[in-house]
Amino acid sequence: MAPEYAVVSERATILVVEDEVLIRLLIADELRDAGFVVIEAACADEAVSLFATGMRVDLVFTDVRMPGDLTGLDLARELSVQQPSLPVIITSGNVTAQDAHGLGLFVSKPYELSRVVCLIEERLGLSVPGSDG
Amino acid sequence: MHVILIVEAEIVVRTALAEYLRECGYQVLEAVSGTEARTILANPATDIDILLAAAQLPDESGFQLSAWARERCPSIEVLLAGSVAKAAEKAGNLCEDGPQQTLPYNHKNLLARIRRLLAARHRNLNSSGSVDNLAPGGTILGNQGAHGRLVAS
Repeated sequence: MAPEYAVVSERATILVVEDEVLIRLLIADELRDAGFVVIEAACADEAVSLFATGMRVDLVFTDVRMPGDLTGLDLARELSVQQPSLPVIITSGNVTAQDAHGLGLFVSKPYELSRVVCLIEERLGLSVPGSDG
Repeated sequence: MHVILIVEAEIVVRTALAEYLRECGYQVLEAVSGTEARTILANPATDIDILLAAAQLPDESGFQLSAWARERCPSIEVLLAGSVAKAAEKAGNLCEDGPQQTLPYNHKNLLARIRRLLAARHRNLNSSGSVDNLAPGGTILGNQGAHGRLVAS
């Protein structure tokens, strides 16, 4: 299946939305090591502020339960309307894939960092699905 | 690679500054609040060389955070960023040589400041074998331990 979204020439920018700072730090580092530009947001409200500036983001990787007015699901719902082609990956230890249905790919917590990197590369068309060891 | 912890609540400011410093070759960690910064600083897996904090944070002042950080990690260098109204006044009490730079962050000036701080730290480490007696140009020393430099407008 062809990727919905492909980044060809530039480093892709991933927005990581995660309120647990050490988890955010880990996944952000892993993604930077994989060659991505990573923007870190500590809650969905921060992510919304960032999008309001018009900053380019190629993929959003968001937790669900976070402080602030919006959950990660709210963020994904908003983005599905405003930027329907923007890939979103939702992660949570509290909700299920069914809750995230239609809003983006779901990854349950805890997750393996390398698996998330592979999924992101797949979603961006940077690797063949299922090609990770 | 030197590690810089940026503590800044405003995502656009933090992101731009962090990305610039990464492009300059530093490893940059980001925190949005004093609580997040303390979590990172308390994590044994992280070894921070420079704490770059806004003077006003959502949950505490950058001054409180830097005092705590210096107490916990005496070798850490601290840069505080704030507005004139409050930060400069406090800087008069906490720092020997007062405000150093202006806000909003001038990335190049800040980079020069970081490089000078690290160079001074390196010189002092080489000459004394410890970071307890930093010369002028290094970290500011105070009665309650060093609090750091102020980057203020």
